[in-house]
Amino acid sequence: MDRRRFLKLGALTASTGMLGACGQTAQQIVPFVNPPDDGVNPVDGFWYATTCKECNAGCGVMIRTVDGRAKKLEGNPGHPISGGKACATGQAGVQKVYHPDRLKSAMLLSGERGSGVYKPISWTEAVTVLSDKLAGAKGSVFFLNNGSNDVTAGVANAIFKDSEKFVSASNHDAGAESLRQGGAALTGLPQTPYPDMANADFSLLLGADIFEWDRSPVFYSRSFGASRRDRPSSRGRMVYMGSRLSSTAVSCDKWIPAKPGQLGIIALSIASVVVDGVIEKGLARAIPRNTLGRYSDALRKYRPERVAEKVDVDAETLYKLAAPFVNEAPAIVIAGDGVTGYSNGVAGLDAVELLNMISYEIGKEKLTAKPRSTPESDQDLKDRMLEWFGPAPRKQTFAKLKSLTEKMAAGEYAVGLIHNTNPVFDTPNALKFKDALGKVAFVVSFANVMDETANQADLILPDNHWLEGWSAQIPDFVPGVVALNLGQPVVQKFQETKAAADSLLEAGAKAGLKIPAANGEEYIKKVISAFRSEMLEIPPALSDKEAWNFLLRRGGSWPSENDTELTATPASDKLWAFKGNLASDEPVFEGTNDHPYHLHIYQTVFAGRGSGVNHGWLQESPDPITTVMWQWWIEINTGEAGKLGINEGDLITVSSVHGSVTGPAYLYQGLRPDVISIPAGFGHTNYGEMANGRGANAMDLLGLSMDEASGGLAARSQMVSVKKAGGSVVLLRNGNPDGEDKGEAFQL
Amino acid sequence: MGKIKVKLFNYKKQNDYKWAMTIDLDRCNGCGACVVGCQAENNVAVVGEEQVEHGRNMQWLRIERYVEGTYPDVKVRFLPMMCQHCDIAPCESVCPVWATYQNPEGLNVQVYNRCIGTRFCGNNCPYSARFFNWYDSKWEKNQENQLNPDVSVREKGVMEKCTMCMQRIRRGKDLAKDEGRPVKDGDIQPACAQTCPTNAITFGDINDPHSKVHDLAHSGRAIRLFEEKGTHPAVLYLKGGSGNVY
Repeated sequence: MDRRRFLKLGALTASTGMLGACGQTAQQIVPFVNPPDDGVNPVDGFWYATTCKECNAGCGVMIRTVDGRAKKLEGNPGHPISGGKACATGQAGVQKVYHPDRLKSAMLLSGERGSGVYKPISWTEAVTVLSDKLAGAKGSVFFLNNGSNDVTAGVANAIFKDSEKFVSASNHDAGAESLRQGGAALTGLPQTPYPDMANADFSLLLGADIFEWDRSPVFYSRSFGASRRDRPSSRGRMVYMGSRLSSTAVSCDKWIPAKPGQLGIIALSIASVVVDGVIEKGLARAIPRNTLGRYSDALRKYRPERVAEKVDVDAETLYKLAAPFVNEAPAIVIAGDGVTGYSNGVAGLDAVELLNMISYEIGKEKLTAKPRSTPESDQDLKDRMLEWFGPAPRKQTFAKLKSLTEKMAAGEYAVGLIHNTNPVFDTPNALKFKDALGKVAFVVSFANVMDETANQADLILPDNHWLEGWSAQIPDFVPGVVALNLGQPVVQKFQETKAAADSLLEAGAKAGLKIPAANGEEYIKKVISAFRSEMLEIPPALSDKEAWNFLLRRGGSWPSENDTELTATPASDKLWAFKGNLASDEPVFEGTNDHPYHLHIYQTVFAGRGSGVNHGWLQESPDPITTVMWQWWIEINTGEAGKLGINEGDLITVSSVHGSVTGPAYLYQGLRPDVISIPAGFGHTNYGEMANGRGANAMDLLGLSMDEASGGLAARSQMVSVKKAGGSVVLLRNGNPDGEDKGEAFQL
Repeated sequence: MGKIKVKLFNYKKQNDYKWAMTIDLDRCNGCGACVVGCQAENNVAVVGEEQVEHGRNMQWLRIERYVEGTYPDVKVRFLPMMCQHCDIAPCESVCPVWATYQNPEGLNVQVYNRCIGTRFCGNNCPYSARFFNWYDSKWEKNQENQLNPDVSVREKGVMEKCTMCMQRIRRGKDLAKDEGRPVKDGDIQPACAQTCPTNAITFGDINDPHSKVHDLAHSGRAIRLFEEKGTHPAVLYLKGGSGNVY
């Protein structure tokens, strides 16, 4: 071959290759150098406002999508809860769209219940099956969710509300109902006011794990940061009282390990010192003196000297804790599971509210740290809006779930609808929810990954991931404002799923039931048109379509900080009309003399009640306190473990009257010696390969003790025993195990 | 032997920006939002339980926690730890192929396709902030859909570490250039800083006397980790507060 011929051939081959390559890839080339006409660079992606549904807090978020795929979640800077921030679990939610365990289509049970044998069916078929069952049920239907006030709950309520048998119950985090009702008798308000931590000099946290799963971790974390360092005048100080040095307690300046079940009494004790201090110093003249006198009398039996021994905190400390309230308002108290987890929860919350109200009266001239509650006019609006989204949250109690379970067990229900909750896994063992579910004639689950409850269903109608469909929600925890969160389809559906509300509406229509709208999107539009005139932030000149787009761009409707009086104070006549005597009963514990330890079940930042355990990002993130990854553990006080001859990783068995669990011990200095602490959410049996068989389910230990005043589960009332089970495992912890005490190396 | 004199790069005169970060330990509550935010933004692999057992987890940003004292006087402290972007970086001088070097804006950068995986840099890093890819990263089926197209997925045999979200810095600079202005304070936020619910992390140009990071770095609370090693990190920690609790 001569040189000329070689070059010719070479050129031909090269050009053919290039042409071929162009032909193959031309469809995929993104024109980065030639921006498209609308000026949006597709590589930068698009940002959509929507609402995170990983928990019930209702954070407004922004999602970045590129090429039709969701890539990243950030907080929506304008949103009153998230304020542009996000938590670990919310961010992990994006990856759940692409979770390998997602169900691919509607499925009908084709074997025994619990066998997990399902056959895929078309959506037309699935809707027909559901509509036949709904038509045959004649209103004997229940709806159960996680306590979210969303479209699905609203639609279920609207379809079945005329039926006497219909019940809409909620399987929410323990203690939520007490927190809503606490102080209501005292303040006369329908909603417990939110103490403004962001502007407080001193915050006393009574068993309130506010950075974990209690209410809104993102909102409270923002408040915490602001209290600490955003106020040039002073650095916010925090004291945590409770039986475990939790991730929240660690961030406080001091931890006081008070006796379990006594935090309500401690609040009363501090209140007694504060009331007397206010009288003595002549503070807060707005409060009628005779009211204060009566409070003082009622609280006398809780003076620090009288209760110190019982609550295991010395009197001097209690006086010191009261001092900031009298001396240097603004000071606030936040109560949490440490108060509500016992049978005397609501009584303790009354004392907490009294402290907050007195503190507000002392400090209101400074115009900081006001208790934020919804103004009464807005509360009316909120109530009217909530009617569209299921039962009012304050009516959703554990007692209601318990009574529903009893009726299920008696075979009273023909159809059960279960949305976004996993009660077979995360309700106390003693509730026997699984057995009761077995007595329901037809169970429908809307789960989009298989879980323990879906595995007991006859029909599974996988709901969209929250990034794939329309949603609307009234967040129940919004400080002082009424918000309507909106969610929109940010990405196309990744699997053959259907919004739960749409499934219900289609089946309802087919069954001849009265439906409130044709589909979920229409339902949301109806809500907006009903309240359009009261959504003051929508410019009046906008047409309905423009207003809809305005709200979608914004992520929902909420008044801006400037629009509203956030700090409605309770009407003083209501607050200061002395109601009964403040008192707290002794907590009731469940167990025998063979059960010397208090059981403390808590939700870790990453696992929650179990939803985080099938996620790689969350499982591989070291737990903030133990730094354990991928595993489950049982916490025991280091000194106590020494007495029992238990070392880290030794397998121990924790038993209550209801059951027992076995797992590796983690020795922790930040735990009372009379407490055993166990993270919830582990021990799945049917939640995908990543989650199954990791640890044991702490709920196996739990009974049904309740706070009768609120109807809430007293989840900390259980007593347990501990013994070595033989054998040990290596706990997978982050970093060098010898590095426990290196804080000083960094001169922190 | 007299005191060793070290010639510092004069970023102020030579370059437009000197990126730096402050982390306020008094605000950090150890919630881990930054850890997951970083993982999502930078395509950091999940290695699984078995590899974690070998100490091969990859989080570019981790939260160290220290327990001091015994019950009931216990104090636990959190310290978010990532590449400190040292001005005089011990990792750079030991790399035989110049895969890691100091860029003109004060960042310690890693060139993945230059790296031959000697792991000398990881060995020399006093902060344990560098991670080696023992295997090609695999994502569970479908999960590659979430990968950030701005960040390359690293392959077996290379080191990786925090880049201070280089892709975001580039985007911020490009935007400013298009608008014919310098980068404004707050234009660029790494994923960790953007997500941090307590606002503990602040990023910016420490050369700009009006930037927030400049203010905080000069607030009197700033410390550098292992200052005695003379690495001059670009990450400054703001000490926690103390004083009367009650």
